[in-house]
Amino acid sequence: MTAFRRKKADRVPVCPDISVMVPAKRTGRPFYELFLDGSDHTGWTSETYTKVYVDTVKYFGMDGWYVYGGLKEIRPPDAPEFIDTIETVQDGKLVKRICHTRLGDLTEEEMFFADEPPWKETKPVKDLKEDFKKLKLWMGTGPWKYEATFRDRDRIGNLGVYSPVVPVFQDWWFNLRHGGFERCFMDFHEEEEFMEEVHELYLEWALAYVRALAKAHPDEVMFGGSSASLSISSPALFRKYELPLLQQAAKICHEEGVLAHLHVCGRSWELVEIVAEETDIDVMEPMEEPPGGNVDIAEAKRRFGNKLCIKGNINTFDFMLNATPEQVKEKCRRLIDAAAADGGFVLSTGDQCGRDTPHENIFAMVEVAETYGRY
Amino acid sequence: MDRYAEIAQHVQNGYSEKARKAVEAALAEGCPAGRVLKEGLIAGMEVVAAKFKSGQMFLPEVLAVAGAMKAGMELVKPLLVAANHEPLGKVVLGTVRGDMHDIGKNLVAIMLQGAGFDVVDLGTDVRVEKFIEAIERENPDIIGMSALLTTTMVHMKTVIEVLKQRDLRTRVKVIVGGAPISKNFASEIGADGYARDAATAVDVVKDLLDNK
Repeated sequence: MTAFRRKKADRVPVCPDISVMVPAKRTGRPFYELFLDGSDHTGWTSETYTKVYVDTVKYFGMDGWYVYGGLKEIRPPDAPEFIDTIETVQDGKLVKRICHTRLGDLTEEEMFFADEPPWKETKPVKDLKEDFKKLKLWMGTGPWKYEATFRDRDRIGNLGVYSPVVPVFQDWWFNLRHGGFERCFMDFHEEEEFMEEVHELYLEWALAYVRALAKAHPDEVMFGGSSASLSISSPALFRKYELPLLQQAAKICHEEGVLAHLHVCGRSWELVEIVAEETDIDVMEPMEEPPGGNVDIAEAKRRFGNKLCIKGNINTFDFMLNATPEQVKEKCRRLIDAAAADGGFVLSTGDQCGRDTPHENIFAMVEVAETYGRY
Repeated sequence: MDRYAEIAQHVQNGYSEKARKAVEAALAEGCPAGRVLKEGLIAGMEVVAAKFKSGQMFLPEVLAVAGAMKAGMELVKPLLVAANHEPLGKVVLGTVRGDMHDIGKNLVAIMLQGAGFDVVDLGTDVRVEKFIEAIERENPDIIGMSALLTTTMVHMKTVIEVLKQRDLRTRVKVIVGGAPISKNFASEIGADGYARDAATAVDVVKDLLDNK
């Protein structure tokens, strides 16, 4: 938290993004067992997975970043709910979800594999205008109410930061809209006026949730913006759909003494500039280096180190997977030299270390933070 | 501005309806379909590809451009077929087994079509046999494989090995791409080409066909 506040701790914190594949593989269990445990967990993944994550933080001796919690919504008694059924299929477990609304059903299917991340095969909004009416019945149109405290706040304890997640608009829509990113972008392009209405509902809900989260005082609120990445989206869409939330939400968080954190993986440099100059966001990550991203961490520190805590930026899908521990250590030392002066830096990777990332490479990061990273 | 430049401009702007109308007008005025394709639609797409490659354009804008290109192509294609107009080559594309990610692969398809190639898209989660069947059926010049996951990229090697076993490797060139793919990985598995992005894929395919 000291680094997130752009201050200097006793050493550079070290928090590689191991979620979710590295902890899941460590268990040796089929991944669907971890995710489909039947628990009443509030937040994404499951209670079992959150425990696996915390165990893995202890195993590596790293600083934790618990992004799996949230506040339970207090739903009106007559609100329609999604009901799950789980089928065993050739490659794992297929979860079919159905929500009966008075205007008809919303349905989605999600495949959970034994050794791969889950994948949504169908999503609820298939017919844009008709299914959005049903979606509004499922979501409600506010006011939204939530429990006042986090049920799993103590799970990470002092091992790391408790950081509930609010999806940015493009993430939220991508998770609801059937047809993938292309369909989402065509909605933005061809149904611009209708999407204003969709965005308006999202913004009201998101801000209500941010207010509730901030009042419950997590360490920070993270805005999940993978789908706003410039590897797939554009600065124009970010300005139109994400900036209004980020500008207002950061202020709401700060009024309660809570930090605001933005995650945008992949190519993000143009967004770092916008966020630093036009919002009060405190932390931005994972500021990925090429080839996945386009952020020069030294340049980010030089230009925006007085505005943003920087977390990142080691490539996961090639470097962390294939480098030797010595190469990892060398890169970590270079990153610390480039970005750790005066604090406000967390030694970390780009988005999600792959399942087969050698543990030695994660231990190497921790070792460098504890030795070379001493202030 | 002449008709061809007008079409190219509408394609660059991603204006589907305007592109369609401009193509319609050009054909009604007697412009040859081949020139409408090359100097209008493809010319517009070439500008877009260059801007995308240099980071001046982004995926959502390219998708809008693809819509404009498609709107124009729908009018031009039947005329090209009737005139036996030959595409630059034929490419079969697919995301490999176990991988559902398709946006990069779709973008490659858009760029290749925009450059004048015939593209057969096998979709996502494509197993080895489906690639083999497509090669037998479509007789492509090139197959392109995409993967986003480090756990699925290994299937690219499997496809190449099966191509060798079935004596198909000399019939087609193989290109690979996707976020976790590198030039080194492409060489290690015996691919003929690697493209780091969709616009580069067009250059790689053209180079491979020139050297075939």
